Amino acid sequence: MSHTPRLNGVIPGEAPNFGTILGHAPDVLGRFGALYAEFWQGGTVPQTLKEMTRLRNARVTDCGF
Amino acid sequence: MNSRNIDWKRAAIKHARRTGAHVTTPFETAMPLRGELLAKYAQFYATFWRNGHVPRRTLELCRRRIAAIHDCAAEWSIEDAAAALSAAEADQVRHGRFTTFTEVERAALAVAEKIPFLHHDIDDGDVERIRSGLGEAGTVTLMTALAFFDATARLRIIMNAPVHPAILTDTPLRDGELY
Repeated sequence: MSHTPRLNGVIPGEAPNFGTILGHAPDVLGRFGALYAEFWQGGTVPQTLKEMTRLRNARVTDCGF
Repeated sequence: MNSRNIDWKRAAIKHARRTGAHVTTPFETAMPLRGELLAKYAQFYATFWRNGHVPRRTLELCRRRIAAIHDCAAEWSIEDAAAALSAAEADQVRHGRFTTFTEVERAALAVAEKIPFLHHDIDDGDVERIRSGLGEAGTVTLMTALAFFDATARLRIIMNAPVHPAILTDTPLRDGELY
């Protein structure tokens, strides 16, 4: 499996990351951020439980990033 | 069907009626306890269709292919009127036959095919074929859309969302309602 980023980021001279790659479509990035923040900041599920499920999901999907 | 899911859905509907929450579609019925989450999900999900970086027909082909892979009837039964897939085209998508579609559509469908269960098999060439056809903004929009088509199909299955066939003029919304 390749570990080379498949798109450049939108900030010249800076190594691409998740945010700068999504930055090619600013509306997608902005609304994703709003949705993701709602996952983390809203609701009644404890942060610890959310973090445990996030880490477990990363493990199950074999996402080392 | 899991009886705990039935009880949960009844509780959600009861809560919505008591609080006056906006509940009309099966998807919205499943999420009235978290109105802000539903609103932001709808705003984000609609972006794929509204930013103009990926043809609606390409999005529709990929959305329905992922629904077919998951055997998610609730997602499959929603159609985008603007994409206007013929019955023959829908049948080809259902069975994973892509030869009649355009080069860009085939490139998008090739990645859609791998998103649900084979995401590690997506390679540099798969992404480059999309980038050369849709550009960077189109690639970001399509890849994010594919991930969320997958997530939405999984969510419908997890929630036991009922099949509610609909032909939408502004996928995935109609009159502000998320299907």
